[in-house]
Amino acid sequence: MAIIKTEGLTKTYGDKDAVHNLNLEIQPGDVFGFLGPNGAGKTTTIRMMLGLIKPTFGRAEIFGLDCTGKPEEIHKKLAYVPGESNLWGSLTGQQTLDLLSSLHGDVDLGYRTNLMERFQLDPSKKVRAYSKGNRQKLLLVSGLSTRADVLLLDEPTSGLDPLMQEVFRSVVLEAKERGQTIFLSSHTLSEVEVLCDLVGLLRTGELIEVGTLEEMRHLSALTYQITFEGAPIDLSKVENVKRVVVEGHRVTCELAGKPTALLQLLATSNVAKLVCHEASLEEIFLSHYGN
Amino acid sequence: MRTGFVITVHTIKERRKVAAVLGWMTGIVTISALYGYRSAYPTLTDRLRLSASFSHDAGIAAVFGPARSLETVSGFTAFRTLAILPLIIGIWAGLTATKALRGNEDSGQWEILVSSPTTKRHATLATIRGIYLTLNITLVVSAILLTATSLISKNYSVPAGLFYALTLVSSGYLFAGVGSLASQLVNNRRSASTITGLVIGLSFLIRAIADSSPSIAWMHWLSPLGWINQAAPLTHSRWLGLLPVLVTTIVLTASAIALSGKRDMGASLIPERISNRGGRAITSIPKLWLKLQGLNILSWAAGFFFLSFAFGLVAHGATQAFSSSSAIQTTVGALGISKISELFFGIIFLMLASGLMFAANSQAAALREQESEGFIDHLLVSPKSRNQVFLTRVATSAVGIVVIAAAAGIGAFSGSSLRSGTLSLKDALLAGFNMVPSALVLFGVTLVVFGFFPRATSITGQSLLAWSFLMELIGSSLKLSHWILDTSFLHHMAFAPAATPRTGENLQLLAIAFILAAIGLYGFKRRDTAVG
Repeated sequence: MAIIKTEGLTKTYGDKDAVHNLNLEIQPGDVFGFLGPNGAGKTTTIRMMLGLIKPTFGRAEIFGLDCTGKPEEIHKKLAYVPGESNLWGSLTGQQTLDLLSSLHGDVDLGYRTNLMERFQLDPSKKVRAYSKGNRQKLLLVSGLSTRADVLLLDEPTSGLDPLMQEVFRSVVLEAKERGQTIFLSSHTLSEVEVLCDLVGLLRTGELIEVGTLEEMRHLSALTYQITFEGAPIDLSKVENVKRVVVEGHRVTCELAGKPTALLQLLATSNVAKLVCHEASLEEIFLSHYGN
Repeated sequence: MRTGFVITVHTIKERRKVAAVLGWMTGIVTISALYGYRSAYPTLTDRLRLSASFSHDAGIAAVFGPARSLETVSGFTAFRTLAILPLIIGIWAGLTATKALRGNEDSGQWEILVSSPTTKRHATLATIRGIYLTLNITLVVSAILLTATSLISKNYSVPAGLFYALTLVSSGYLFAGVGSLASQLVNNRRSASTITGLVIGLSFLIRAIADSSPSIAWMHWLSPLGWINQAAPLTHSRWLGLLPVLVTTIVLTASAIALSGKRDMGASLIPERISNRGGRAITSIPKLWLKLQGLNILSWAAGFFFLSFAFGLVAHGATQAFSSSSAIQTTVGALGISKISELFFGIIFLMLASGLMFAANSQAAALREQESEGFIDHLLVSPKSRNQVFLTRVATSAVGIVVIAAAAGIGAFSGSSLRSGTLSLKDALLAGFNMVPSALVLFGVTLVVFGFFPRATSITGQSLLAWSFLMELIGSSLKLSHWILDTSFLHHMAFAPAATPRTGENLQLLAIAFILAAIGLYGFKRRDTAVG
């Protein structure tokens, strides 16, 4: 039985659908990556799952319980980490952690201490004095130290530096090993690729793709920037190469699939510089879904 | 240059309505005092008796300031209004300055402003200029009303009325300067507001001490409110009296602008204690509410205690003054009130009830702020139900309202005991608790609005409070229908201690408040949380 399930989930503001007819099924132990650009409806979906806002149509279920009924029953076995949130500035970090732990109940205090060390969080300061990144660490420590069956993480690494993002990844992998189900909303494809078994792509409130990473691999086009010493050669006919843009001596293109043909051609050309990078989420959207 | 203009206009736009309301209030309170005096003391004999009884009472002088020319309409009007109006305008202006400067810095808006083509110093100057121009709106509105009153009543000249308006609003300029400087000294709005409040409170206290005895009258020169009193508007109109106010305002403003350019963004001259290892653990929602609202409720309670204590101190003198008015004696007889002192305390508790309703509305506004800022989400995503979050918050506020009311009763009894002992502890407490049901009904209405239209919570409470206050102020003199008067929340309150609190009616009001809170909870449970 699915641990998280949505059926025709829709949220309308005025005449605009923030989320439209969302159907999802996530099994226990899955790590689900929920991707989409700003305003795609990720946070609205999560807020409906938390019972903070009500669906206009359809329903969301967690543990087989309707999220609009008695969400507090669901929250007993669920932890939530928002990406951006206000915390009470007059409380210290420790007071905030104690309060949130007491409210949730099911918190591993030893693991919480361990997380504070790994995230290098000083809990003695007042929240008002924390930077954005430190406030985010506080929310992460609070949410990840629970033994909740489901973790809802809404852009949890926003404001974290790369080192702390690495710590976050290792902690999520530990949660995955413990069998916790993780719903991870993110802008960062690389983070999702490392952590998630399943990925869903949301655009303007609609789920446009959902599947395993292997099934989604075709979306992960690589972007090449090739600078030639002389006039650039024509790459538009090369196997797996798309979206070729020529600017002077520099050619930018995307490669979806094996690079063999492209590399063989470049090996015989006067290439001054070759840069390859993973396509951003936005580039993938532009590449596969228009706009 | 252009950026500074935009900041100034934005500062004015955000506050112009409240500034205009403040101007209207200033005018209406003054006009009410003027015509009230003419009606209560119609003959020269009445007025001379009043002047004789008030002029030598140290307690009255401490609370209201020096009594000058009380046998004249303008003298009494200045006496009635000069203690309270500059205080109200000063508090508003001071808090407006801390919100516009440090509040915007807390929320990050200041950073966006300063990253535009301007400097921190220029942005501060533009904001303060906006606050002063906003205060000019208050000045213009009140000046128009007072000029019109001068022409109609002929009780004071037009220049005297204009000087009076300027004197009242001058406290606003000065305390806005205090708020601006405090915003540079500490690194959060709450602390800046506390410093501003302390300066205003200290000014009032020094002025009160200075007025309590002629031998220490020189202390007036230590208090901004003392300076304003020394200007003696409507009676002597001493223009030079406003000179210290002007100089201090310039010094405070210049210091604030200079300091704003020297410090880092988000920093302050007085470093904040950011570490608190020994902080008490907060392990439940009620404890959280106590932590967040406890100090606020205690501050209200302390304010009510000292205010009612001061009125208790002056009760004896005021009662004697009331006795000198044949019109008041006739009214007392018609109302069936046995003692004039009870009438005095009845009026005082009616005034305090307005304050209690304001406190009740601020509790509802604080609840809404918890939601709009997203704080409440942390509680609602825990295994606690919306019932628990809402009811614990409402219960904390309700207990707070009862505590504030009790503090008012105890304060009035204590002050009265020191002078005349005309008010028993039982009567004082009953009069205090008598204010609670009406305040809770207003609180209940704001909770209903919170439940269904959360963004309108605060403005609805403020509007209902202003309406109730206006009805009490002008309703009876305009002889309005009881249908209209009944729309005032204050109108349902027994005139305790002059009249015995009506237990049955109070219980009905409490039941209504309870039902309204339940409706508010019903709405809150059914709706989406509304952030922003």
